[in-house]
Amino acid sequence: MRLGSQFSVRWEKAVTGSGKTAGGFTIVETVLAMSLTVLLCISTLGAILEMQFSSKRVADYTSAMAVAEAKVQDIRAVYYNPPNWPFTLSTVYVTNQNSISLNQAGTTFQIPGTVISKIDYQGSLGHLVTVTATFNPSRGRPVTATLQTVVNSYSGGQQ
Amino acid sequence: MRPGHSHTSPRPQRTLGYTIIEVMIASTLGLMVLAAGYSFLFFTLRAMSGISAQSVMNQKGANALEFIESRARLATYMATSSSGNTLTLGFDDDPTRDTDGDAKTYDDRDHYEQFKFIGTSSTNVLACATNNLIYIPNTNSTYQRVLISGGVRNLPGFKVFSTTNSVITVVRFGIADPKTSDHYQAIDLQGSAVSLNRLWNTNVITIAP
Repeated sequence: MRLGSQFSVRWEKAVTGSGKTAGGFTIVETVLAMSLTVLLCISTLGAILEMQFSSKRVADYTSAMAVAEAKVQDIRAVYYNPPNWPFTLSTVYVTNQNSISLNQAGTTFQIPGTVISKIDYQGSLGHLVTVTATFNPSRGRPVTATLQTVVNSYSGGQQ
Repeated sequence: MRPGHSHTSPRPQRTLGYTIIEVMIASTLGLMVLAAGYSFLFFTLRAMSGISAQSVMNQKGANALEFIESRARLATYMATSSSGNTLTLGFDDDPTRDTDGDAKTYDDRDHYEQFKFIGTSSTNVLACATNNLIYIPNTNSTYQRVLISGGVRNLPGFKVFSTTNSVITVVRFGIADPKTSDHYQAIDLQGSAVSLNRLWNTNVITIAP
């Protein structure tokens, strides 16, 4: 629909008085135009709100990833002396509780979660460590970060 | 409003133009449209500002934590101040020379680096508005680099740096945007910095909770 050209034709008719019909837009046209404008505004606002939510979610993912990375570092710091715990011949699970997303007052963390570390024997390769940090926000899907590393006698800190 | 109305109506000459009511209605409608447009623009720009602030914060925080962890990995010495605001790392600059005379060439402390939390120890957003996290590449030099400028805060009940057994430092800090106009933007980070160049007698540590 070419609104500009229609408008100019109507304007011309109205000014010159050459048209037989009255100038201006019909109620259908007006309602349609208004509906489109409102739809555009709502979708734009919705997109912006979603972007805001997403950027906060990225912050939660960054926090979750830091927690998972911290646990990986903790496990890497343990003396690698198999089959002593936690580097046994069977799979070992270590579960810890943690929370992220500090509130505005700076008093409490808003999203609780669990960090599960799986230490799996891989023969001569050593042990495969898989750390999964899962946090459950009140809105949206859970925030999950998983990191893996291999620990063996060649890992650092085994002087 | 129909501008052509006066041409088609058989009004007398003295009544041409718009009445005061028409002008007032037109002005009111125009103002309402302008106000709606302004509000829309204001809200949009404010939201976009918040999104940008949050993105920058995410990047800065993650980068700072990663940097601290990467430096700690190569350190031969690790200690924190009693306030928990300073982390000092010692480094061996030449693995072929035994500068401390302990018959080991790889565990010397040839230079020290520091990470410092500067400002008010608090979790409050406004109190922490000017808090910084800085990096000093060599404590013998006055040069320092600001890793995070403004908004660095403590996490409740924790120091920024706390070292266990001279091997592992738990780093906990948050960043909050003190600007209230674009909503609340914040991130909190909890990481572990482990020295992989540590002494043999400090190898056995437990998995931190």
